[in-house]
Amino acid sequence: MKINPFVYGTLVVVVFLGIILGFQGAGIWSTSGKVDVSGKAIEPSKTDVNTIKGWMTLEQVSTTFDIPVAEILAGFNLPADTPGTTALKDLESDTFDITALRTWLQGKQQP
Amino acid sequence: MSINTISSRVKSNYKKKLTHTTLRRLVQISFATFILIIAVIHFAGGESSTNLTASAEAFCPFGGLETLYKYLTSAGAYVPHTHLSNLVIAAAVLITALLLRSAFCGWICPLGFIQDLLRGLTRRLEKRYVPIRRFFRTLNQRGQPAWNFLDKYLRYAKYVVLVWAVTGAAIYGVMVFKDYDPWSALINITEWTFTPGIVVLAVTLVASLFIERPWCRYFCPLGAASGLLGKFSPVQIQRNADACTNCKICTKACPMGLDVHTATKITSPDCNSCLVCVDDCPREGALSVQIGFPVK
Ligand code: SF4
Ligand code: SF4
Repeated sequence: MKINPFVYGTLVVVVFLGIILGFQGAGIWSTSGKVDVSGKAIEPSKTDVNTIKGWMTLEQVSTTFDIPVAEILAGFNLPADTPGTTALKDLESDTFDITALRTWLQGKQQP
Repeated sequence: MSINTISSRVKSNYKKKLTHTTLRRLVQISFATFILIIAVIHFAGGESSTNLTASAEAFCPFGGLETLYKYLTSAGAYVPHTHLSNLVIAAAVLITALLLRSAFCGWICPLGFIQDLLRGLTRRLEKRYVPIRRFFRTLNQRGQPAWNFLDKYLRYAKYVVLVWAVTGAAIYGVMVFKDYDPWSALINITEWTFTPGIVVLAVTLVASLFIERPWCRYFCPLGAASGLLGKFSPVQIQRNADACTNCKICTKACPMGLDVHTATKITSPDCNSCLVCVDDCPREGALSVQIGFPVK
């Protein structure tokens, strides 16, 4: 069956946006690591390193895991004068990223 | 000239201009503007803003494919820089491909649109200025044989990128492709961090002046995934050999460099369903969009 190209283009937009709106309507949508799907603010938790997100600061990690900022910086060869208010994602380099920090913290927690 | 003649001419000119390509451009502009607005709001708000400002990265469908393995195997965790929205948009792209072929690439993707714009610009310049036209003609004549050879094999590179990016993210838990991704480089341009992706972006933009959609043709992993799924779609572009005069206008117009004038059905996963071939075909009924089974 032949379809008119205008109808085809309209279908593309309707199907694509329809799927996204459908998921949103069902509550399956979140564009930020700062809140969970229900809109509740995400806090770092000592029992789950996966709760560490790139927008969190060194201080937040330090307080949650009881590890001084200086130790975290030294652990990843980061400059010692880096302010504790720096977001983790702003520190990403060859030697530091969120996954590496999570693994490092997990190692620290093991007896 | 009578008023009736003028009005019918205006009408036919209007009709000529108001094709489905106009609709496609409007759709592309809308999505590109949306992403631009998101990026500006996020940049203005900053990470420390108390208001929630989604980053443009949260709307990247490929991020969804990269995080899928981790999401399924680590109780809903994501690789850094991705969110639930990435998974939802990836699902939308892939389901759309299954139903309507790789239309995301031809109708929606802002990176595809930017490449279209750049080649459109040089096409206009070619038409208007003779030296530029001559330059492109010479380039075509001299480089065509070597380019045809390269083009044939480079097209497979996108599947390698797809496998590398998805398995790399699954194994290492980070987006191994992010630093090489021109789209990521473009939406994070305000961070002023040098990544190989900036070089890939620059090469893509310059190449787009000479070749249509170089990133899509050769390296885009999302286009690769969407094109492969599109093969199962019931939608196809068909050529009616009886109506076709073999003028090759469709083949010359195809931004993905496909041989439309020799095919009976366009089954290539590289076809992005832009329908430029259908639009440019001068023969009524020679090229059409068909829906139906069996799927090939
Ligand atoms: S191939 Fe990639 S860059 Fe090109 S339009 Fe498709 S998703 Fe966009
Ligand atoms: S074959 Fe037609 S629809 Fe497919 S990419 Fe080429 S011009 Fe676009």
